[in-house]
Amino acid sequence: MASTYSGTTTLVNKEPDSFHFPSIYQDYPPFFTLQTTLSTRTSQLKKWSRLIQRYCKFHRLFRLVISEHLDSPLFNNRRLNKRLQYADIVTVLDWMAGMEGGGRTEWLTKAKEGVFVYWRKPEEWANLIRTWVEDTGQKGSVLTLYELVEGETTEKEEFYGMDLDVLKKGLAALAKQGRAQVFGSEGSEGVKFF
Amino acid sequence: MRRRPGIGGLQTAAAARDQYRLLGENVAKIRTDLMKEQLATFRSQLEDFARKHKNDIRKNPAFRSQFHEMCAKVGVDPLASNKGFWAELLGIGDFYYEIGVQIVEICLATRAQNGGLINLQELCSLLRQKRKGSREAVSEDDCLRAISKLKVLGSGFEVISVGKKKLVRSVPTELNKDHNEIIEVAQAQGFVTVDELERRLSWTSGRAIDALETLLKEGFAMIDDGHRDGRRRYWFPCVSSISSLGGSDA
Repeated sequence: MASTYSGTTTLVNKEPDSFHFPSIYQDYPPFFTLQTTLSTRTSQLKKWSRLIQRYCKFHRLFRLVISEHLDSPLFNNRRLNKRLQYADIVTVLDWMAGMEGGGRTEWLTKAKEGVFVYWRKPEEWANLIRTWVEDTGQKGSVLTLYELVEGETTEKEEFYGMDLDVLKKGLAALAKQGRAQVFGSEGSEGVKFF
Repeated sequence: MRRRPGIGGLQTAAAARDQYRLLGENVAKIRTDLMKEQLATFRSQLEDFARKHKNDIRKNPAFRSQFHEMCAKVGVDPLASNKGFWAELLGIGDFYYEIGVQIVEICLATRAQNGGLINLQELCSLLRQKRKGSREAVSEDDCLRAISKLKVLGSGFEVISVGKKKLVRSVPTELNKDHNEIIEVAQAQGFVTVDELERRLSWTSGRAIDALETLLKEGFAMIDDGHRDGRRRYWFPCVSSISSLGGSDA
């Protein structure tokens, strides 16, 4: 995954990794002020959405609590001395959660202090697992969520180590379509795919 | 015998006039024929030239530009029609048609970012990115030619000169003198402030704010707040070569 971003552009924030920030983030200060003209603002929100998704995917972040990221390179460009303000971050995340943003985030609570970030949507995650279950000939058998996400057999899969709450949302969506069934009680759930 | 009255005299005069006219017509005809011949020779030589240097014209942008110049001097427009000798021989009409379509695509893709105003250099480099792998290199001159052909469609494509830069406008919005001056000032740092406009152009703040608001509304500018001096900066993507980021990020 990391190789996708190994551009040759000089990096702004020297992280141990090398996440490649888009040039508009690296070189263009107005990117950090929410625009007032609708068309310009929409274009800007799209770019922030893409950046946030890519950033979270790179660092495998499933949740983003705003207060924890105020000073992270995601929202704070030290070289330009520009940052996205708290209220503007809320606006961006809110936009991502809505129709226009394509449901790429979901607020953790009504207080709007943090979000699930869906660089893959819950259904996509659930389908990834369903495909893996089919490919490994385990269709129809009951698997615990724990073994799916933390078990040795899935270590090489993309869903290994994923957020259980996100997974449960995805499975619930599949269950509604009659393609999966979730059993058991909180903390020891199992799932069966059809 | 000095006077030559009578019918005989008149007839002689008329005959002389006829003779002169005939002679004149002959001379004119000879001249026209000569011209026609020269033109034909010239045309066939131009065609020979084009045939001989077909590959250079197609592949080498500098050569192509000079060829265009030569054609323009003698009143031949190889792009006038997509049919006929030139198009068939060089495929040159298709070449510009293709570039034209790609230019439209780029302008559309970056419009959300720059409001429909992009500098020519930027456009060219985006065009080259888009055409990576194609055999023919594209120069700014080619871009300008393709754009001038787009203008025929009445789609509001126009090249405007602001300061040292050439900007390509793909939206019908007309820029007035004030707008042009602002964009020219912005070329130095990529942005302007109301203050700076008052100082540099001796404008009132009202005039500066009015013009800036229009540019903002049209999507040509972006605001940048939160500076220590408390002054809002107005950035212009069309002079900052930042629009390239718009394309893929949108």
